[in-house]
Amino acid sequence: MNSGQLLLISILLSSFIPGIVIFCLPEEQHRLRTILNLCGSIVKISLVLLMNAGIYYGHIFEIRIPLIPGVELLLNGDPLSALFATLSSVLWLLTTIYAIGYLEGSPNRSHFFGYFSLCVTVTIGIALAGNLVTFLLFYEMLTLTTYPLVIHRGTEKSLRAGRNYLIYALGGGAVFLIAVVWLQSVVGPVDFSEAGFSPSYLASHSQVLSIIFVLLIIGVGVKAALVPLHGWLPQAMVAPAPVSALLHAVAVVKAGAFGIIRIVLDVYGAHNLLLLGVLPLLGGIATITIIYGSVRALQQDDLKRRLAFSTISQVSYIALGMSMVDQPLAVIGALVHLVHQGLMKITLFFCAGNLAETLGIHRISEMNGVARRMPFTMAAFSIGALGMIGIPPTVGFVSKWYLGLGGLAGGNWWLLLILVLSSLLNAWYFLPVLIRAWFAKQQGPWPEEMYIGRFETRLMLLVPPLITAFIVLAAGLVANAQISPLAWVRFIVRGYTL
Amino acid sequence: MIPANIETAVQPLIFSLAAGTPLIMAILCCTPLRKKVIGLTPWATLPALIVALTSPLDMVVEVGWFFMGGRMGLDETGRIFLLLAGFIWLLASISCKSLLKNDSHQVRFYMFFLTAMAGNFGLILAQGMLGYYLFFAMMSFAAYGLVVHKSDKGAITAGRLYLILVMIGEVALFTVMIVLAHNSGSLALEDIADVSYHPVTLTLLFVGFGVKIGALPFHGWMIPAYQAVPIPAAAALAGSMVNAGILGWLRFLPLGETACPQGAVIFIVLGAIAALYGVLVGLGKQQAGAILGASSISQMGLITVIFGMGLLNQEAGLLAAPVLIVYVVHHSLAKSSLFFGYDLVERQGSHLSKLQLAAILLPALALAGLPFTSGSVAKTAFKELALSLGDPWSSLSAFFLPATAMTTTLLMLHFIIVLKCYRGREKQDRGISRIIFTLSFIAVAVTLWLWPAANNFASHSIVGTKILQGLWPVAGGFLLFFAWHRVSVKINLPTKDQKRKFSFDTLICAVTNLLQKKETPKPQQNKLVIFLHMLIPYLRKTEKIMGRWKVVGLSYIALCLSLLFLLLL
Repeated sequence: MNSGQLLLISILLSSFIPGIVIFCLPEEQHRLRTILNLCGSIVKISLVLLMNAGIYYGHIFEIRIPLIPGVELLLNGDPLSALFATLSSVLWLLTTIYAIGYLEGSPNRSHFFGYFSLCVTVTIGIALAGNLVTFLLFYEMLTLTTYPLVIHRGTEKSLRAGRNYLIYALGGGAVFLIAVVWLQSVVGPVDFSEAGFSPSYLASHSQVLSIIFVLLIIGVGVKAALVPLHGWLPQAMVAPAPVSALLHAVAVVKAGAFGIIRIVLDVYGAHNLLLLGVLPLLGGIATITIIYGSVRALQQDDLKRRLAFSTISQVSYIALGMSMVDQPLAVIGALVHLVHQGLMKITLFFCAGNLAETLGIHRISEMNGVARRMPFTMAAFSIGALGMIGIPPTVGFVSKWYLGLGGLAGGNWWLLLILVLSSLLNAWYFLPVLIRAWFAKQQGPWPEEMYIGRFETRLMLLVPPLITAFIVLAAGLVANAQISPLAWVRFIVRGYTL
Repeated sequence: MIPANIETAVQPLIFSLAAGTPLIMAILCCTPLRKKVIGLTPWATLPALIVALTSPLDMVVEVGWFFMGGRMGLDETGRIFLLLAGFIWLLASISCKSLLKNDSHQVRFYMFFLTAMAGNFGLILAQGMLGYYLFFAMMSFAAYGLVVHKSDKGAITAGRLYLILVMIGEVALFTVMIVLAHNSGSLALEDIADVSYHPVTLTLLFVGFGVKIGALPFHGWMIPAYQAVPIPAAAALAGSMVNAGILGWLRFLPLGETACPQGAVIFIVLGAIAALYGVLVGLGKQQAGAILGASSISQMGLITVIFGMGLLNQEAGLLAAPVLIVYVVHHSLAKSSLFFGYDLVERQGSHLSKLQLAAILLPALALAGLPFTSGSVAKTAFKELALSLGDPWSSLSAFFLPATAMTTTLLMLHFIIVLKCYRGREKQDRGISRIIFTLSFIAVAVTLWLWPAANNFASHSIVGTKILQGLWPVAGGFLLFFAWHRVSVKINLPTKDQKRKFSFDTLICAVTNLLQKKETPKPQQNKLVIFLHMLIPYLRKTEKIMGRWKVVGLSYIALCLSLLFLLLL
């Protein structure tokens, strides 16, 4: 085993081992559990960064384990997987800190953090998967590890949401499985590193390949919450705030979006898809999802539900960008939005969790004047929300800018209209929340004020959203620098011939 | 050479400090240092003023890592705008300091105030499209915090309208910048002139920056916002922040490089309508801030006309640019001075003295173009521009300019009367507000006469015929005002509400009553009288409806479509 393979294995183990150990720990071992969690995530970030450096300088990270003839388990570190792995591991650290603060004193924490660690292991597995079979394997495992997190509260509502989630996710998984097997039977095993199968299959199998593409997109579209497969997401927001943050920004929805990117760029390849002519379908669904999600978000009074619908809308920017895969600028916009949306949405969910945990605020109508009580939380929330609207210099603007430029470069004028409409809708459902919080007068006592201390809330709840909000601003401000997500995405796109 | 190297190394830092100092201070407002920071607010303008006075011209520095490529620099236009902005923000921040001493939302106010200031300075220095957009957005959104500061019903409504229009402007600018970046392949402002004259981009630029200057039909926010903002902040808003819209036009559509006659006509027509419309609306207002807001709509309309004339052809563009800048300087100084005068009344807790009243008359009548004021210089420049364009513009403006001068006189006298009847709420640091007003008064009085760039226009404006030409509309305005005043006192007002004494409604009442007096009432005339009386609530209603955001949104879409249609013909 060479050093590169060792690195890949240790990246996976750095969260797997703490997860298993935490399962075995008794509930009251609070301190040990915290240390394990934090050490695991810090080690993971360091290892992922090490891998990034290696990838940048052209090292190869690859593990092949044959399962049955023609099917092999393949882990491969390429620039794209590095992007997703870095996002997941950094946000995992912050979410862990947040979850420790959030769940203080609640039951079943061993259980929770155990699954939490496993969930991230699986997400990293998705990032590192080098072919469709491996991707499928981890993708199904993700459903199984997130289900216990969704139903963590154990209330009837959360059980119902969990059941619903399971039905959607397993259904999607089944479609995905069929599609993967079918594709394998047509074109043989496809490694992601080949960036698309040989165009020679197109002549004889173009119809079959189109159908398989649709099936694949349905399979990952369930997790990416493309309309009409989005039904589970707004219900799943009954889960505790750190889980919602994880679902929306790091693991599940992102895994779906990442799947779309992999299928378009690495399974089919830009060239094949253009010849098949199925991309407008993806673009159309993405457009509908963007508008539908925003319109539904407008109607919600429950803060987390509004954020959930906003996720549905925003994640589809990625699908929209991928539907113009022949335009490098649009692909840059889509890939960079994978990171940017994660940063913004996790900030918003952290803040929503803070409001719920500190003051018992769940509804937007209860938020009047809350910024006077919790200025830092609301400052972070405001940055996240302005980012969603796409106000410069936040990262949201950078994504929109590249998507717009890519759209124009491909001659798609309508795309600008969609972006403008989406911005206006985002402003429509986020700005009133901000105005309420900053400028309205408080009406009566807070629903349930649970924490009164030196800071506006517990420090472990306050620090993570401040960090992510800072990154939302900073990554936009230094978008052109060598260390920004944008720079890495440009590096990724340079590797493809689009 | 070493000095040159040092200069290139230090210059980005100096430029960044101009916008960065207020921004850092805004962030420091979140820390326990806030009391100290708030005390130091006036100093936040210092780096910008230093940059404006000392930095070398036409030197562009690139900061590659900053926000998709930062470009900063100072050109002649930028220097004038920066000086103006620095001066007005300086006065405004000194004035705010004493006003908000006991305000419970003081910290929040200063965060927005300083951020808006940073945005204002930053956009002047920006030499890249996205830099301009970044600071423009920063300023626009931060100004929302100033508009709603008082948190009463009027402020909230004004804020909502303002925010909706700002969003409309934002998306228009976002779209136009993507189109420009795509078509020119560059983000630098100097590269986009070739492509920005396309009808579509011209329309979007009109909308995007028109919102800021209150161009028709996006003027709805201006009156309620000026009324709601704390007065010194209103001075900054009216004197400096609105200029960002004009500078935006100048930056994105550099006058004199290309031309777009069809687009020009739209600018001229909408500007001219705004110039008269603003006055009519203002006459119906009874609050000093609102009247000044209406006057800004009108004055910005004139500036839009000048800009439109510059778009007619290339030579006109070269002539129009200096005229535009002279007019902007004149308007900013006069308008902010009027706001500081209003602030003075507000704070001294008693009626204005005769001397003060006389002093406020100067900036007021300068707006109307009274000879020997900055206004006469600006109007002379305007006239010369119109003459050089030949017919039909010169003959049209021969009617148009005196008409606006006369109506502006009327509006300004209305303002003075409202101010005279007004009693400030509390006695509070009137010494400072007196000093501030004096400073702004001096600025209005002397700037255009001492400023070399305006020398030409200034010397032309004091020729005998020009004095007469400037004088008679103002005199006409006076006569009109006194006639109206007398009539509206004599006649029986339809409402007993004394507040409405000098409003637009009474003008109609006066006319109708005169009609009744002249001859014995006949059924036909009665109908006319009834009709005119019926008009009053409708007028009020129309203004209210125009303020509703749905109407604003719809008219926005309608305007965009019609502009596009016109341009594509």
